[in-house]
Amino acid sequence: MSGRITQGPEVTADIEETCDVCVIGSGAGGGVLAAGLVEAGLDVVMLEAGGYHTRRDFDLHEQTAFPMLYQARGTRATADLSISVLQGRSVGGGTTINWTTCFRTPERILSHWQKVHGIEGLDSETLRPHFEAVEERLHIQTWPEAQANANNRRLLEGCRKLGYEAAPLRRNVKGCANSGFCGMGCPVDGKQSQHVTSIPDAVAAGMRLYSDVEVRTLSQEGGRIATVDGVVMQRGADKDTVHRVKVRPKVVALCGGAINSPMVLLRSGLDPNKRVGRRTFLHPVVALAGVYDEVISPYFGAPQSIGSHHFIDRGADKYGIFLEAAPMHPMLTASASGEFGPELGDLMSRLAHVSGLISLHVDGLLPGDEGGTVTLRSDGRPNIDYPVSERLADAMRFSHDVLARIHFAAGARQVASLHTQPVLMRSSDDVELLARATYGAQRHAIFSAHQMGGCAMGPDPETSVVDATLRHHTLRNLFVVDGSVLPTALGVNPSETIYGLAHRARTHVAAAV
Amino acid sequence: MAPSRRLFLKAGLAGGALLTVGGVGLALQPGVLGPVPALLQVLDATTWSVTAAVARRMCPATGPAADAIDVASRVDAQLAKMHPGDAAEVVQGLILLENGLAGVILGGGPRAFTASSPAAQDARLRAWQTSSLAVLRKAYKAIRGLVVTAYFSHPETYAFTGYPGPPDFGQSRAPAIQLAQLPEPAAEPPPVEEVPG
Repeated sequence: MSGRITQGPEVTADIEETCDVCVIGSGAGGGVLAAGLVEAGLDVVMLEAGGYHTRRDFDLHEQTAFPMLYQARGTRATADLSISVLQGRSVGGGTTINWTTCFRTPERILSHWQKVHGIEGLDSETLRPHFEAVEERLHIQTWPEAQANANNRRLLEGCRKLGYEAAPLRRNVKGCANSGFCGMGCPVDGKQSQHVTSIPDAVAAGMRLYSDVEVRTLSQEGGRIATVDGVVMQRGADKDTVHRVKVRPKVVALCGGAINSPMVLLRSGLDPNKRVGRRTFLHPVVALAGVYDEVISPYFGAPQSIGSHHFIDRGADKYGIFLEAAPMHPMLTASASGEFGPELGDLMSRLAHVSGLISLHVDGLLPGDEGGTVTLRSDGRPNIDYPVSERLADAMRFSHDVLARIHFAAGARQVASLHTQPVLMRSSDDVELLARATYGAQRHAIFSAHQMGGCAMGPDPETSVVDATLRHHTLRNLFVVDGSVLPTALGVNPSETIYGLAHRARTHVAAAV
Repeated sequence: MAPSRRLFLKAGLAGGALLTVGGVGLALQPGVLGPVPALLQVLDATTWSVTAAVARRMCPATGPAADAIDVASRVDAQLAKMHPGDAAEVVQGLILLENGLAGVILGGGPRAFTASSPAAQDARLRAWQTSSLAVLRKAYKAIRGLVVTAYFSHPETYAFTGYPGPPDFGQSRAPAIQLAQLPEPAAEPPPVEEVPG
């Protein structure tokens, strides 16, 4: 039996559906889960808030991609706008626009979850078959070091000269054109995003997918979710149409990702223990721009192919960090800079010679680090509060120092921070200038490409939202299957962890039908 | 401590009050930079003009002119697709930025932004960028973000940055380079069919 993809613009009346499982969200969690449920013979309806776009729509211009493929048209941020939150919103979710880097969940993180958060039955050996399955389906393999672009090679060379560990990354690509535009939708379907893998699998086997449908509330009757209520959105806009969607499922799988899944539960009033939206983690990112004599073309070539975990463990009471490269297309780069006028023009006119290296901070592991909080605003928008603590600001200072030294070791002629008033360095001797700068919210650019937490898993309903099988503690036909269930950040790019957890959740969700 | 959205709204309301008071004597001759497009969606003539004035200062003079890119209208188009609440906050910020009395109190001089000299406009933008008031830094960031992304996402600015534009895989509706034009090192290696495990 073949299913169907119904897109918002073709909807002319309200929609009512019944099914075994309603999957809300089509990203790393929803896609993998839905494919497994359909394979098991279940009747699945999937609702996705974003549009359905394919490679034919990906013209690789930022002015097209960000409004089309990102939450809030690329403008999502924390409440004080100090952290830009890059998060996908289309069929395929974050997998349509991520930079393809894949890691299995580190053993140290699983061990931390067991020891600190009481999560049993989630170890490397348990997860191994699930990771193996998704690695095969999504073609996750190591990207050859020889094919690293000039931007990533700066990271590799700088780290090696300084004696820091650095290694090639694994990517979920097959037939990659090495163009560098992963963040704008893969133009050749080389990236094995959910919209070209699991979702076509599921639709071919009977799943009914509705794009442009934002779920507003889950309604409960007798301790179970009875209906899923949503609205058809205007294509490409954060605005409703007049058409409503109502699904009556036996089981609901909430897979909207960190921030959006908590929002659905908050709008529905399903937060008896006040845990929803708490412990939201962002892997806060800081970046430094290095200017080189040679052409870097930081917009071409696989965006991330080298990573360093040399500083992942910096000792007690210190944030661990990991280092990667970031593609630097004009709009994203200009947005990240704090400059305007001539200073902005000076940076942008040298873009071809700029390398962008980033440091990601591992939040949620230190005692007392509660990360951020997602709450509901009166008009339905998410309010993301993320205080940058003194400890985190200190780690950002350390990151700046490390990134600057790597740039100079790799041959940079000049290095600039992304402070409101940038710190300009012309040699490694100038790195000490960074010590005089201030760090933290609204002091320099901070980003997040990894959103985690907000519906944490754990054994105790007082401190978590779902159990280790991702089943809601009290609403027994509700599962949350996405990055929001992570009790801490990971210290690695999160997509494969979400794929693996979703693959593992298939049997639990199916059994609940 | 991070400012709350409510605080920003309060500042915006204060700005509205200042607008009223500022009409007496201080917010002299607020400018409307013409010609203002007839079919604005979210901005009005004043806030469109403020946006255009901000764009002239923020976008590099050495690149294509902000007016030629029509940055203010591109910002208006973006606001029209955003959540109405987000768009309303940006408009509040633009109104406050324009207000001359607010300029006296918050930094940047006594004249309406659009009626100020380029140097005074830069001073007001810097005052907001580095303000001790988080709400002003936030408003600056929101306005700056919309303006510079509207400018640098336009293909006509690509040449200024040395960016050749994206390769053409057959989808492009805007100017694009051909695959053969991809500069080193991106031109090699060739597409990867199978990556050895």
